[in-house]
Amino acid sequence: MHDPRKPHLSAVKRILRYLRGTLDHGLLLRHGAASELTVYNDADWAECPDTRKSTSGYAVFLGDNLVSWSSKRQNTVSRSSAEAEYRAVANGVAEACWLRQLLHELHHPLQKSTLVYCDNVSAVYLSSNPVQHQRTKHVEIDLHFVRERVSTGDVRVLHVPTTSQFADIFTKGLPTSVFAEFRSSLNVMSSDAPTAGGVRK
Amino acid sequence: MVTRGKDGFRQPYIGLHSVQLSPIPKTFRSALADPHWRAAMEEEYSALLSNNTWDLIPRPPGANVVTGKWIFRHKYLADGSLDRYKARWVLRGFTQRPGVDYDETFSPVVKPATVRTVLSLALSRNWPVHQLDVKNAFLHGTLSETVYCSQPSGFVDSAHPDFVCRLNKSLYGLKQAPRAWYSRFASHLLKLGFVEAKSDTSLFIYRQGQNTVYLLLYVDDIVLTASSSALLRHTIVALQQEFSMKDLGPLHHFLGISVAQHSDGLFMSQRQYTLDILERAGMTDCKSCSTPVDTQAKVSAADGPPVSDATNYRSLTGAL
Repeated sequence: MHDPRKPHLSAVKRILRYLRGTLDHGLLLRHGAASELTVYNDADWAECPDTRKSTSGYAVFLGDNLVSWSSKRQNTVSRSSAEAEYRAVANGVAEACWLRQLLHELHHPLQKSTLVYCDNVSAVYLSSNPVQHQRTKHVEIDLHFVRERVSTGDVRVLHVPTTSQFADIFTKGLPTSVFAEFRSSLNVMSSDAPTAGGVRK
Repeated sequence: MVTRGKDGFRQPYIGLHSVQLSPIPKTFRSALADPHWRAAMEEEYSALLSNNTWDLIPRPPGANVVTGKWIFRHKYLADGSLDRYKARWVLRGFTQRPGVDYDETFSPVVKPATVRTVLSLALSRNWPVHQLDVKNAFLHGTLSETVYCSQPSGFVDSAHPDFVCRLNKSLYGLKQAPRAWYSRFASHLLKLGFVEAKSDTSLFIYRQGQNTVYLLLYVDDIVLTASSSALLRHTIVALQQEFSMKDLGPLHHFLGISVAQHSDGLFMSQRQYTLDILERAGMTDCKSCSTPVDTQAKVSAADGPPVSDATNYRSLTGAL
């Protein structure tokens, strides 16, 4: 921000051109039951060319409705993609915990545990397996609150293939077809679009 | 420090409708000369008086008198047509002294995720969702500090031109105004039996048996949903007894997001805001593209020559 360059401005202009093409798009909240939380997590490892920090993103669904999302550069450098993904999972789980608390206060406690989808198998293992790995011994204890949540049954971390990892949209540039597909899965659509359900589930 | 004001930077004025409208006046004298603006100023002044906002007193020796100015705005409807002329007397909060004229200034606002969660729940249960608007919200706040301000320019009491106003209620522009309004409104809600949510302090919940009301507060915008229409009406009436507020009917516009009823649910879009940003960037007629970022895009902090107009870049980026 303090020293903007030409490529940065063209990136901003690209975003504006995208917005120009999606003026009639918006987020649709559906009537469906709000009985469970689902979190999609993704990370793009060492994406920042200057600092080699990773980007993490998540999307939280309440029932079929997207209620919260984030796309943020992580503030530490990760040694492996699994670590980057695990940090993303921790962020997503933190948001899900807050939403569970919120729903509880709204007198709408959730009976089912929150499903957390992650496309990295190692990160899935890391969330349930309390064995200290040689390669992950530096991962801070505070991130392992995910394990605690898993052991109490609030949260279940599952693997999802990259092709249906909707949080990808928050971490990297995607080709048009994938982008459009994920976007509609996030219930972001044109106001006059056909109202058939997305490709979720 | 050189502020943007000193730098000569001004937010570009988007004059889409300026042809038929009285332009925004530069001084309060030119405003008084225009019938539209004069009426708006008189309306604001009488609202301040009827609200018992201040007492006129002789200037106390040594007191800091906060100065003020008139702010003029065209208010537009969600479709972009003119709603009304609005004049507001605001205080220059930067002439207040910390510790003397104000202490705490933080005021909580609702998180967008909370709004969507509450709307999802309301939708799944088929509850009515209404939107309320508080008139002159900040004028309701009561001040815990003693603050003096100058009389509104153009409306100075001719018998006592050298008197100053000692504020009873908070005024726009005061550093503590949002906080004073929030605590006043919150304490009234608690009296009505609402409970402040711990996970978001701008969410208030009322529960009596099967009767439930959720209230979301974003400064002076309120979204209210209840388990039955009767309960919703009852709550609105209870709030109106304490504050002057308008029931704007079913939710249609909140935090710059337009909300439309859709066969499947609620459709939220930021079309007007997007148009405003494009207008500001001078890109209203640009060629659109299908994705916001390139698949290869990895921009380094130090690549390429510097941008000539850094302020424009910051303004656009900040608006996204």
